[in-house]
Amino acid sequence: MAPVTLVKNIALTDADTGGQTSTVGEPSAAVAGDEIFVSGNWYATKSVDGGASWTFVNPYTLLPSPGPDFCCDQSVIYDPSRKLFFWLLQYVQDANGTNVLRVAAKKSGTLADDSWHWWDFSPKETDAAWAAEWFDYPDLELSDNFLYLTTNSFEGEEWRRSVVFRFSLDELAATGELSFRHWSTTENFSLRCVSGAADVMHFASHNSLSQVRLFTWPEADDEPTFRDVNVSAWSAGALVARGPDGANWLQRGDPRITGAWVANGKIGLAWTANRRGPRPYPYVRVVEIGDGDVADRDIWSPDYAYAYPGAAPNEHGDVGITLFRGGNTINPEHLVGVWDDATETWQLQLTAGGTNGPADDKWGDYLACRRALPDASSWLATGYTLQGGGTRTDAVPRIVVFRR
Amino acid sequence: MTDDVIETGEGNAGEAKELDPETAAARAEAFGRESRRELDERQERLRTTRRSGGPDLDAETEASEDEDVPDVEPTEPEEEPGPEPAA
Repeated sequence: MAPVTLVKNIALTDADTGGQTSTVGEPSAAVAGDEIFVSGNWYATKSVDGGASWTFVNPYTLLPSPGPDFCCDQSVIYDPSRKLFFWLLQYVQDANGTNVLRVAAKKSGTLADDSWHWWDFSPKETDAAWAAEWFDYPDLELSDNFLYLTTNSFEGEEWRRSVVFRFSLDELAATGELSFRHWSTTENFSLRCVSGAADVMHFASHNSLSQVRLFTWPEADDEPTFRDVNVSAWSAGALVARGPDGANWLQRGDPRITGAWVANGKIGLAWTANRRGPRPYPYVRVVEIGDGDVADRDIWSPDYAYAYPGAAPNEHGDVGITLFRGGNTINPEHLVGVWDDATETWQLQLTAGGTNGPADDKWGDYLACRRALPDASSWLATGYTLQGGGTRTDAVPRIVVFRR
Repeated sequence: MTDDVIETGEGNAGEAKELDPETAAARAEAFGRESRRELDERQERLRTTRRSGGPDLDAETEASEDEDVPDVEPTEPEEEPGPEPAA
């Protein structure tokens, strides 16, 4: 198999991000040809020339606040069917302990200006019984005709439920009144929708260390169904992967599913698992679920940890992945890769090394991997490293376009 | 999964709000960047562990003596970093 080729490997500068970076970087990206929109903690930035130049966008102030300030946890995605960029922003809690998620939309071809349409969603306006709750860790995904917003909901520090919102892409494109369906569970934490969905959305969460719950939501149905799937056992617990400077970059890590995709009739799930048996460091647990079989595609090393996977299929059904590695002699580094069916291995490519680990042990919480539209074969991935120090101002976000 | 675990519903977010290009440009110019001190303080306030919920996987790990893992070879990446940033 041909090695992974990095078509673009772009480091964002302080001018591009306004210097508003964090070691908990959470970079996300959406692409439509030469238009690229990127978000992260706590900035946004855009390019209309394929990444050659960037213009900082301030997520605190570009859009009028719904009341409380912008918080964090942004995600961006591009829908080629309606030619829409979507931008998800989380706002801080108000005096009543509740908050708002904002979904903003704009047509491709207009990224040069900062016009947006948006709608706000609060727990109380979703269900009056949720009035004391606040949404956290939201994410976006697409199927042929819907946009999905997944989020956890907490009351104070206590998790109450996981929620999936489903919005019509036609209504979003019309930028008028927006209706939605919502579905929630008080049993499964942190639902993750798959990338690559067509007329059926799938999402998943852990039931236990050896079972995942896989939900299936056809576009024609009002609510999802589920099945439980047994997987090879793994371990959770506090993650440790100290680097050469002693920083434990996985201090904040946990095993929620961060990568999910559907391709060739199979569903892939990826998450960060703890050290176990002959694997001395945390690693990326990957399962591929078919009709009657579950294959293990783990990414691990005897010398360091792998963590925070994000993944997506390209239009040929090949699966691309973005993730970090680090620990032992290696500061946190960013990699991308592709699953190779022929050799049944992940072909990984380093995009950038790091000079430091996070001085305060704070890293994460997610990366993004998308199809690099309109190219059918390539992926767009986000990552970041620390360059020249261990503080938030040393974080260098990275936009990578790659192919096999 | 029992019915009291799941909940479904419909809602309406109302009409979209809109930021036109001229107002957006004015806002971008009127509001500068966030202050370094405020962002440093935000970084300090970030939690060292994340909120969680659902099944207690940590407790399940502590209770388990199973250490088996799938028979998968270690993954070795290509070590050379990719091209440098575009000019």
